Amino acid sequence: MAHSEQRVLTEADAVGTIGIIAPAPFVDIEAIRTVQPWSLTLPLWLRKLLTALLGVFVFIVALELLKYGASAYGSALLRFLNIANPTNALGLGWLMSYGFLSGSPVAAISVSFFSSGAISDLQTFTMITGSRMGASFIVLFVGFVYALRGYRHTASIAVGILAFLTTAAIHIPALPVGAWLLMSGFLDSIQTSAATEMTSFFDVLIAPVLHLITAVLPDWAVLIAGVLVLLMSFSLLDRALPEVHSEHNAFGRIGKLVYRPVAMLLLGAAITSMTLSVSVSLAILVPLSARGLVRRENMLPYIMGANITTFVDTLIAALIVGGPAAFTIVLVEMISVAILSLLVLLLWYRRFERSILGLQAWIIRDNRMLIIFLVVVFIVPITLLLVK
Amino acid sequence: MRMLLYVGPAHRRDSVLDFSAPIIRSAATDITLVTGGGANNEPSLYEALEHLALPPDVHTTLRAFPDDGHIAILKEVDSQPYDLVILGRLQQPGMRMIHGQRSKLIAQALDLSVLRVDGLMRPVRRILLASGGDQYSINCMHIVTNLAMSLNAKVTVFHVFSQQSLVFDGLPQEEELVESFLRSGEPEAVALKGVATTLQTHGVAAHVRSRTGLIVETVLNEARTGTYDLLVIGAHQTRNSAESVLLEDISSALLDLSPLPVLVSRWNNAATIV
Repeated sequence: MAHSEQRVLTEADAVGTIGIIAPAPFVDIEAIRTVQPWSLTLPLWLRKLLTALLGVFVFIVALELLKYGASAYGSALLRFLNIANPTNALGLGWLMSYGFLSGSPVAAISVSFFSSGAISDLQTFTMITGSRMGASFIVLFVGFVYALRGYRHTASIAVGILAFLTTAAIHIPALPVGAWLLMSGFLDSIQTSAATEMTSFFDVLIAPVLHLITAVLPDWAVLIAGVLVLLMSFSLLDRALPEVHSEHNAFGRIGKLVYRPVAMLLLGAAITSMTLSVSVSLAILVPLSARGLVRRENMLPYIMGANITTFVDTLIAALIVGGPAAFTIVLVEMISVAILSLLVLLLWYRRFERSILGLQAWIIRDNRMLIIFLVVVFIVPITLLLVK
Repeated sequence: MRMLLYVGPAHRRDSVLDFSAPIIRSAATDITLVTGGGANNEPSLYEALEHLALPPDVHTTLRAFPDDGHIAILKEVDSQPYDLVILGRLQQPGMRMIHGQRSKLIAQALDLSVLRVDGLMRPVRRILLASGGDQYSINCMHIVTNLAMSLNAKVTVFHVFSQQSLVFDGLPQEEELVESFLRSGEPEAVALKGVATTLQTHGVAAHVRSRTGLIVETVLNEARTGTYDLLVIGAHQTRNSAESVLLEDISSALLDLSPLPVLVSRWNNAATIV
């Protein structure tokens, strides 16, 4: 808030152009009435930096709590839910992301489960895929609910369905590709040594906090606390992320002009690598057009790009809590989705675009179709969860 | 209008001459018939002249260049100003795979309006003017106005509304979207209505029609199903090098896929509606 611009209104202000009777006394009423929090006196960049550091700290605490809770109760929970195979894990990730209204926490939980040994690498992979399926549905859901991770979202039903269909059309065929990459050990050589160093560095800071929480809370509550702290960390990170002002860049006429698909894919990937959320990246498009309209031709590749880099936070979570093996799983997820996206873009893009947009138009044709669609996207993950 | 017609050896040459003849007879003041291949192809100039049966008041020039057809066209366009270049496909379908689509390259490269004659060739009675509703479309309309007036053709000013709302606004039906767009004060809607009004002012029967969907698909679908004889599009425009890298070339896609002859119109400062 610009406190220094507030002053007592004088007659000069009231009469406007007639003339200044006397110099207006400068009184900062806001400063008198309220004592400012010290943090607001800091420069914006410093506030964001501190919030980011706090967010990362809380994020790591959450991951460690989840790991602790998962090792104690994760296996029991998964046994209770009877998660016996990768298909069940896919359904679980999908349904959990409905509950969390976001895919990222579920992906982080998957990594924590893996690091505690509660689920296998393939189950982790499919659970992360499930988290993306559910997360894209959220874009549709937030059209009604508005609030997601502290943001005011206004993504429309049509865009939500488009996001869901695009994600499903890429992620489901990417499953066998990723499973093969994972099972073949093709990417095992690309493991990072930073994981151990990073964990060691943060261990020094986090160990005391972790000891305190685990000493105070009963074991069963640690898992729940981990989930809550994780949501808090995403909220902090959301506030710390750079604001993307896209009105005046080369994509400023996104509602008017048709961009090359590859350009939109790169834009979606770039923006989501900063926002870490597909739904936030979609919301960022709104200011590009005064009426909140974006060309259909531009939307599809944008969502495809966003779906690749939305795994960045999961990759970091894997790096911190899961070690090299978890890192490889998330990397495989990103690579398989990227391979499928590029194949579609280079070989069958027009057919893909026609099919997805045709299906979208068919679903939103009337309310009956929309309700059937909503029922299906709940029944499918439940079925996946139950199938043995 | 000053026109250039390529009459050298080409795919469906005689059909192109048949299609072009009424346009030249009714709208040209000057016509240059061009061929490549040098003296060997000179007879094709006279044969085309006879085929066209031009009225005596159309000033006619015959030019044979020693080069390939596409080079001949480029050289002739360089030598004097034209309002319109007319050409068919310059190569047989198989050769396009090897040499590229030369007629399309010419349509894209020249800085003037180009009529690429291909697909279903019928006398021009109904024109489909696909417009983005921007200022460039308005600036380019002299050529379509002149042609429509000369040929007594009807014009449908067609706009594809491919935008999708990111703001929750219920489930609008296509008709509602289109209607509200055309009623709105949006610059595009105003421009489209302005184009139709200008055409009507010059005695051309014109109306605005809008549909929702993907631009290329919807324009092609309209061209296929709407009993049109000519598709008019604006040339691909970019303001800077960034835009030339980033923007999709809709005109190129329409040139590739159009079932009708395509007029790629460009803004010409000197051009007027006559």
